[in-house]
Amino acid sequence: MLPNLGLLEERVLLLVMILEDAYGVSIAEAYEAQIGKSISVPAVHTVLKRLEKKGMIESHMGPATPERGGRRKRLFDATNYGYRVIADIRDQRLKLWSMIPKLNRYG
Amino acid sequence: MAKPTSSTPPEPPQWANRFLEWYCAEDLLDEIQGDLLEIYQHRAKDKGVSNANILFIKEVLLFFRPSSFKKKNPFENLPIMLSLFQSYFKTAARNIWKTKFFSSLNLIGLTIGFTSFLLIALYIQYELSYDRYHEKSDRIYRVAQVQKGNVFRGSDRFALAPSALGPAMEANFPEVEATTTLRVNEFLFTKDQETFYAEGLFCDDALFDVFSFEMIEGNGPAAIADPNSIILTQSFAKKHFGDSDPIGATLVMETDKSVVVKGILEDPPKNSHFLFDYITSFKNLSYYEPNEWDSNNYYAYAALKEGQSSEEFAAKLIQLDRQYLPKRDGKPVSESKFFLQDLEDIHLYSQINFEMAANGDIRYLYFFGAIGLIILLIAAINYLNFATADSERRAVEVGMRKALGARRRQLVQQFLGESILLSFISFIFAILLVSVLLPLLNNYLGQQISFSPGSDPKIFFGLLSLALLIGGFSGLYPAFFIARVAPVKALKGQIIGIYQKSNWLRNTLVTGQFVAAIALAIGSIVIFQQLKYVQNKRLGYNEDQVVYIPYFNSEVYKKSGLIREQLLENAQIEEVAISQYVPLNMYSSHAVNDWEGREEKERISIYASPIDYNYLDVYGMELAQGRNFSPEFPADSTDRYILNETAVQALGWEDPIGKQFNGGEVIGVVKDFHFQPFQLAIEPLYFILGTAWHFSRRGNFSIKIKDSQDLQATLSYIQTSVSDILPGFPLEFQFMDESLKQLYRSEHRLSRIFGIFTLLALLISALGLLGLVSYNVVRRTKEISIRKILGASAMGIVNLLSKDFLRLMSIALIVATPIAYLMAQKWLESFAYRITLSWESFMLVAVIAIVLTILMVGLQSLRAALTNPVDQLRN
Repeated sequence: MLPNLGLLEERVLLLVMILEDAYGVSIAEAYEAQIGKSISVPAVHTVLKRLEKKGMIESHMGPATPERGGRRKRLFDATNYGYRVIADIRDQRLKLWSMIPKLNRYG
Repeated sequence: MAKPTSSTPPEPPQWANRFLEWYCAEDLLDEIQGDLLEIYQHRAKDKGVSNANILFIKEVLLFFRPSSFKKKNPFENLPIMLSLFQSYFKTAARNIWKTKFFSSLNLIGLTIGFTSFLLIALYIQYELSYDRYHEKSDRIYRVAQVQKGNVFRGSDRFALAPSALGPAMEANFPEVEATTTLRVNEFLFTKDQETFYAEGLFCDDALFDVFSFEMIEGNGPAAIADPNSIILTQSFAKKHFGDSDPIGATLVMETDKSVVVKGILEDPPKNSHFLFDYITSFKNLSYYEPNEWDSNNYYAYAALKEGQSSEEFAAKLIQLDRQYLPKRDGKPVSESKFFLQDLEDIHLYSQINFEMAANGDIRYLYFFGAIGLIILLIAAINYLNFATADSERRAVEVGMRKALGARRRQLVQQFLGESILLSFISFIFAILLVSVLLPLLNNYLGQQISFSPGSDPKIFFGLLSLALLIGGFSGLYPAFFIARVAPVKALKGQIIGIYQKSNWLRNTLVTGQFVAAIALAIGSIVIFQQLKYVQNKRLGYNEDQVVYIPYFNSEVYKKSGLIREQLLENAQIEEVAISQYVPLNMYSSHAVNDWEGREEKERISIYASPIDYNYLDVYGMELAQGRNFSPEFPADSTDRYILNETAVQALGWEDPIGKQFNGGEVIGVVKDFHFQPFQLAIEPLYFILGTAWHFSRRGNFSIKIKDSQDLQATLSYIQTSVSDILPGFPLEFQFMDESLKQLYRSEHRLSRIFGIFTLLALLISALGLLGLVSYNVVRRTKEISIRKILGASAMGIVNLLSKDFLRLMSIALIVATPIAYLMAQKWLESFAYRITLSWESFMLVAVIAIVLTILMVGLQSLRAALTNPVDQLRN
């Protein structure tokens, strides 16, 4: 029985899977771009930490850049487990949504 | 709107940044600060700097939460530290193993140093601890006396007291808590069929009020109050009664007095200034009279009340005669002034007349302490030198490590670790060595020194910290030089510059070592020579082939004629004499104030020795003038004297024969002979014919034996003869020459111990020299090889290398010789008869030192000189 994810967690997980270089800044900026709402870096970090703790993503340290004042970045990738969770969520959604009679009318 | 692009990127508010850096954990800073800075740049570009600033500040504040903070857990580093130490340990051990030769030299030197130091420290501690066994030891005093004008053996102080002194002190001085008067005497005992001599304490009732001897069985005070009782010490009881209970058993003293064993005493500790096997009442001494002022035969001890000042009391004590002594003919009954001696100081500081047993000497302790420190210093200097030389040798290794990124701290820790590890190993070895050697030492010195970490934590941990200190310092010191190693230069081999100073220092230290070792060696030789001189000096009488038998029993005297006859039957026995003393140690002297030609008020202090007709023969003493005692002259047995040459000189006579002396007449002059230890000059002495009055209580048989092969047969003949005539009389031969050796036992010991420590010091210094030479040779291997190639001979190379060391050695000799000379001179002055310092001994040491140096340098450099230079230059 795979666990449930909060909305933020789901979205961040999706973004990790979408982005090639997923890290704090890139996720925050992509979130703002795709969903339209701004999100603070600390919030992203918190969610990422939670997801990593749940085993859905893993991280490694990446190269440093001068833009970051010589600091390295922590890059994230989804784990197989993470993919299964996301797939499960998608299936669940699709299943329920396909049962709404009226939704077909909206395309 | 075209904004001018700024040449430098915008920066977030620094205070916020710094705040972040302050609270944030190190390992999180990368992602957090990095992300914040990056997004700041993006925002600054997209929405403007002020927007970026605001958001930056906001997010820094948002990140301020527990999960970002620096962990204060001290134990988080522990597992790392542990494995790091493991690595250091392994590296250190491996390095030590790799340089086996030098490491073991080092180890040996340091171990010897620690062991010597430890043994000496234990010995000193033991000597300082004499008489502390007693509970009141800090307020117990022996009461001794000064007799002005009566100089005996170089001192007018006597450890003795009259029997009336104790009670007089208790009666008149409230400061005194208790006094006890006692004496140690040797008596003949009979138990069932066994007879034996035993030495014990004869005392008044108050012994236990002053001293804290422990009773194992029975009531102490009651037993000594009763003259029919005796207390035995534990080991004495064991020796004569085995495992059975001696309480209630009867012993017979001196063939006529029975005493019952009423108590067992715990053995008094060996570090006491008097020892004994039993305790019994004074009343068992036939000549004992309580409350008598006339004879000083006893030892008085007083315990002052707590808090009393001994100085104040001592001042009062001096007044004793004026106020408190009973008077006789208007003058106080005793002319002595009494003074106090701290109980705890007697063993080391008291060298007055009539001590109960030979005391130690504080000067020896200082002396040995100094030697111990010197040896330790030499060993430590060695260690330091080795460590420095070692780091120099490994300069290349150090350079490489630095090039590979080793931090200075790591390097220092590495060398430090090796140094401390080796030092610690030496410490362990030293402890083991001490536990093995200590019983031997105890045997040799007749003492009871014990050592274990539990019982002597001070010394144990003291030495441990010393070891760690030496190790630590030796590890740190070269670190100064390690720090300055420039990696590139070192790898190229250009390291000379940095180590110049260390070289100079090292040479100085080695020279210092040798100064100390040479001074010790010279001292050792001098002591040895003096001792030899003392032993071989013609004593003025014949001491070999003389056996003497002391006796303490009137029965023996009664049968003495018979004994002499019987002994003379044996062809090997030449002559037998009876006398009160043997020429070993006479201590009966008195003042004479009556002789021909005496000036008003003149007095002479002269030794008296009652002898018989045969005495001079037995000892081969020659007469300078006149004749021996002879039965032909009946007056001889009443008032005729034979004086020694010193006496004649002191009396100022040219022609002594026939002169009046002390109520009698002089019939002969005997050539001077030594009857006291060599520290003292020969004093005036007279012989008289002794009578039963002199000889009955105690005396000596002196037997002259022909110089023959079968000494054993003669001795057993003597034994059987005496036991036939006196069954039950325990015979104790003494050989005159053996007893003399005993007399100088402490000087002998001093010489031996000094010699041993000198050898040790020399050994350690030699090790140091060896190490230094080896390093030197190794360092100059390339130079040597090149020289060889250019045509230098092996001898030439040896010469070159020895020059430096010979120079050091010569300096050491020049410095050491005057020091040694002065100290030797000072020591010799304490002997009345002494050798003169000859330059030969100094020369001997110098030659040995130089030869040693040449040999060592020679061996090492020869090895280098003979190797194929090509191999050496390949590196």
